[in-house]
Amino acid sequence: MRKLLVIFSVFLYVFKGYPQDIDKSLKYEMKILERLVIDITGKKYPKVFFDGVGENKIRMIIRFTTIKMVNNISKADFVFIKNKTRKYNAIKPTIALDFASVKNCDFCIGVFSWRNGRPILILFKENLQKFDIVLPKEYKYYIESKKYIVGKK
Amino acid sequence: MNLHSKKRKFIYLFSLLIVSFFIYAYMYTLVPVLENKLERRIIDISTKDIINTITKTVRKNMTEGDFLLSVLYNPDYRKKLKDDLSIFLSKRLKNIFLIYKDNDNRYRYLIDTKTSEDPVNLLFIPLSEERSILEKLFVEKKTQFEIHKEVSTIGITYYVPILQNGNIKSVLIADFSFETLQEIKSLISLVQKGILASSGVILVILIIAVYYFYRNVILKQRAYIDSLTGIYNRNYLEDIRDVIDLNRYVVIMLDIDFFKNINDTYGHQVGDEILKGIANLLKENLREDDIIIRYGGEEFLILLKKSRNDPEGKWSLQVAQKLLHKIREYKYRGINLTASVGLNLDTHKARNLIDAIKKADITLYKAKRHGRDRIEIYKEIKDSSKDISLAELKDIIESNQIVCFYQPVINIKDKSVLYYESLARIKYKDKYLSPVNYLDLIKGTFLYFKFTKLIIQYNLEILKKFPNITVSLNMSPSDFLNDDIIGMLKSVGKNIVQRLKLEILETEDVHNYNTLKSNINKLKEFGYDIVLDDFGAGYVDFYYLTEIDARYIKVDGSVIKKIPYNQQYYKLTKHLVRFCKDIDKIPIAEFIENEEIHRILIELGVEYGQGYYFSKPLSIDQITNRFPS
Repeated sequence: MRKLLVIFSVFLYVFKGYPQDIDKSLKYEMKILERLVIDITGKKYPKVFFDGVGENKIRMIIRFTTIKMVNNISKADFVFIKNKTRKYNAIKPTIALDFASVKNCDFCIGVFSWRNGRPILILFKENLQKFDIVLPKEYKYYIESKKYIVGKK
Repeated sequence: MNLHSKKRKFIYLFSLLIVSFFIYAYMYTLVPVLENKLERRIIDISTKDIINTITKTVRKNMTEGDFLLSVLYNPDYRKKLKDDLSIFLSKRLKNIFLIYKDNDNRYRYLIDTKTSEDPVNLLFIPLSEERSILEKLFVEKKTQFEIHKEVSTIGITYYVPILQNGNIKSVLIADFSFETLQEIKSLISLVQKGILASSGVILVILIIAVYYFYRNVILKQRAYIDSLTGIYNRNYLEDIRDVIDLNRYVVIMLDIDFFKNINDTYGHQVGDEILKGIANLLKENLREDDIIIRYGGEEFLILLKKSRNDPEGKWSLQVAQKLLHKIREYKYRGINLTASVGLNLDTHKARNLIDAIKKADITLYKAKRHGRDRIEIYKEIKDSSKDISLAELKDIIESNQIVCFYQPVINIKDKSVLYYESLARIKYKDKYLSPVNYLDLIKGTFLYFKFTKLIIQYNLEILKKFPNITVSLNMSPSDFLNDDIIGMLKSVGKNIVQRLKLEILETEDVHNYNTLKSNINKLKEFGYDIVLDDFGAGYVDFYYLTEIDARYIKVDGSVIKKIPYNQQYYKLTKHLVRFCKDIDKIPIAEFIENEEIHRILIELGVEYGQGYYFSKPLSIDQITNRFPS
């Protein structure tokens, strides 16, 4: 009986705080990002370089999507940036994870953020063409000219 | 526990499970629906007022010009509207914004109260669950709301169409926080728990009710089923007697012939097997709608449902014939079986079920008397002057309105009177009715024995009044089994006993031969002369003949009246007379109706006889005047 109690306590300790079910919004975001990167790169396990993205966010993306993180931007298929500046100038299709980063990002093909509790994704027509990226027609709704976005938050 | 009861228990449990399952399934589908309805209702009640106020604020700000164009191209107007709407933002009401639909059917922001930026024309991307709601809103032009399931950033959202001249210019979107939704949900959860708890209580009560109902049904069934044959018993009859629609049934009484002999010869176990076999045979050959009841030992009552095509129930005669045929075919260990049937088609004329059964029962006894293995159909006596009811008969017996007529038994050579046969009559509607008109009505009841006792009493008085005559009393075998009657006969003085003869009728089956024999022989020892009546007409004559020490044997009238023109009956009478003399009994011929019969009987050596040739039954005064001693 005592053994059983010990085993049960250990079990409870090990699984304490284990995320049995991640937040619905986060799940929703991960689903969108995964789908977007796969559709853009055409790869099932795309390699992504994170520029200025918070550690928590990266951990979640790696854990709940098929996206693989690379530490060398030259090896990446894709880049996520956040926090206004893009440190590396390698020519890779990039998605900004905030509106502020879009303005000075020449390689940004779009922006993904949250507004009024809803995810917002806008893809830039000009930059998609620049990278010869052709997306399925479901993305039509999200494709806009970058001019509309610059200056807005 | 036998197999039958196990099966019944299984069926009961299975039914209970099925019922529980359906109740559970119903609750399982009902609770979420109720929950959903309740949730939406509570949300609507708790948020409607604020949404109405916000909507009024927008409408109050609307100018005469196009609302959409005003907002799109007039930053000051936009700012004023935004400031007015911002007032409503709170911890609960997280976002208030306006969107519009562009020419490419894409939704774009007009005003967003949440940020300091001006997001006009920024693409609004609805959640996938919102798309259909917005489409619906543009079709129905009515306010909608949604409880979000995809995200936890917002809980409830209202979508209010901003209409101008009947056209939707914009959509006001107001998001309540996820926490607000959680608060409402916890409130609903409380209600839900309440519903579930009360449902549980109702379910338990229902299960208990179902349990007791089935238990009651099973107990009732047990009480109604005859344990030997598996068909209904008389308890069931009690239950249906007041509710059954007699017009829809024909009553059949079926009795296995000579069943006592089977029990006596082969044992009760065989008797029981035969009863089971006959019950099965009846079940197999009748329909589910017909009611089969074990009415007595070997007597079955069948309530045969009339078909629409045969409202008179004539078809039941064929059914009864078929049953008799099947019973004849049914041979348990080679034992030949027959049955008698009394059929009452006129159930609509009966006062109630018991009355209808009684009539079928009377008819069954008629079938027994007429030779068994046959069907008799009940007929209403058309002569209303003879159609006496049981109630009337009871009154007559209880008020002692009984008389006896007397027919002399005569020495057919010298015409001297041997004794007078006493024949009971009741006076009804100015007529004297003989027992044939009413005896079956009271047979087996206390009235019958009362009737017998009154007859005995009547004759004892006659014997006292007329000291020179001898009379005989007609007694049925059951009279000899009645202690009161035996006691009464034994209390008669010896001088009267010598002038009183007891005639044993063979009118019914006897089940207790030993007592019958013992009681008759005791009366014989007491001094009574015993006369065997109706010899040659029945089936148990030889038992009486050998076991009962009778002095006289009456050769049945059905034999005597045929002797002038039927050689077989002539010879039968001849041998019967010789046989009687051989065993030292005195034969008496009944039904001497004419000179011819009288002559032949003298030729055959018969000494005594009675019949209309000598005298019909007359009152005591008439008969003593006609035959002075």
